[in-house]
Amino acid sequence: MAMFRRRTKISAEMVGESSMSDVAFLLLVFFIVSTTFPEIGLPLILPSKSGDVKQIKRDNVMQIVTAKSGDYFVDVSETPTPLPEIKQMLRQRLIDNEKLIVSVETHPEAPYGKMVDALDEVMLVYDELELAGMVREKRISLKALSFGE
Amino acid sequence: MADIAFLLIIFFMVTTIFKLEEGLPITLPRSDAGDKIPREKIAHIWIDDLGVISIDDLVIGLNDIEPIVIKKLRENPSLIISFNTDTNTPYGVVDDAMERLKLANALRVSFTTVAEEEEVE
Repeated sequence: MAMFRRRTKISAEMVGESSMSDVAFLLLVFFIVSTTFPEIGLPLILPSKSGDVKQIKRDNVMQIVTAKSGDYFVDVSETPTPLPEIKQMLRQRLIDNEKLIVSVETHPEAPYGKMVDALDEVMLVYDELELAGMVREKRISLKALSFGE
Repeated sequence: MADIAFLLIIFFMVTTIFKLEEGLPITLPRSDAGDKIPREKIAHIWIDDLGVISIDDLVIGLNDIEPIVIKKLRENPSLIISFNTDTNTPYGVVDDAMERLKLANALRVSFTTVAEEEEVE
């Protein structure tokens, strides 16, 4: 018991508060150095390689085609459609048809950035409608055109 | 004594260089809808505007993607493959790489982008 009392007395004397700030700085430096920030990305799940090909009704697909020039075409239209307009169309079609699959098709020589721009818009529309509870999952398919423009 | 120890700790912490992946010099595309993805889950594939592909700071060919990714997936099954691709890269190269990922059964991918507001021109 005597020993215990002596010990507490010593420790009370030893622990000063002046090193508190050192510890705080130490922690600060540690966290500054070790912190890595998460990356920003558009996450997608690719279809698996298993060969089950499903027939999908044309009505349930909206094609967004990125041409070599970087212009966008919806379905099989002849004239390019600007992205904001595509966004409007997609929103409307998704509200009308929950089963809609968005097929983002890209010419192999089209710049990757253009495809990402299109994908970004599609994701935005989905995010918006998911928040509103109008769609449950993102149905997006990526594809490279294998012929022509 | 304690001060010297702290000084040394801080010195070593600051001077330690974590092994950072350098990758290839690329300009990332921008996006609004991007989600944040934790670093630990990511393996990066770098593709520059000429179509040069790199994983783990090694420049590799298209055919090397599959074995490397299979090995990485074995170590971490919840791995997300992140495409760090130059915005001007022809899309065909990215598609070819994605086909190899499908062969390797790496189906979770992400297209790394720069958030619209932090864009630096």
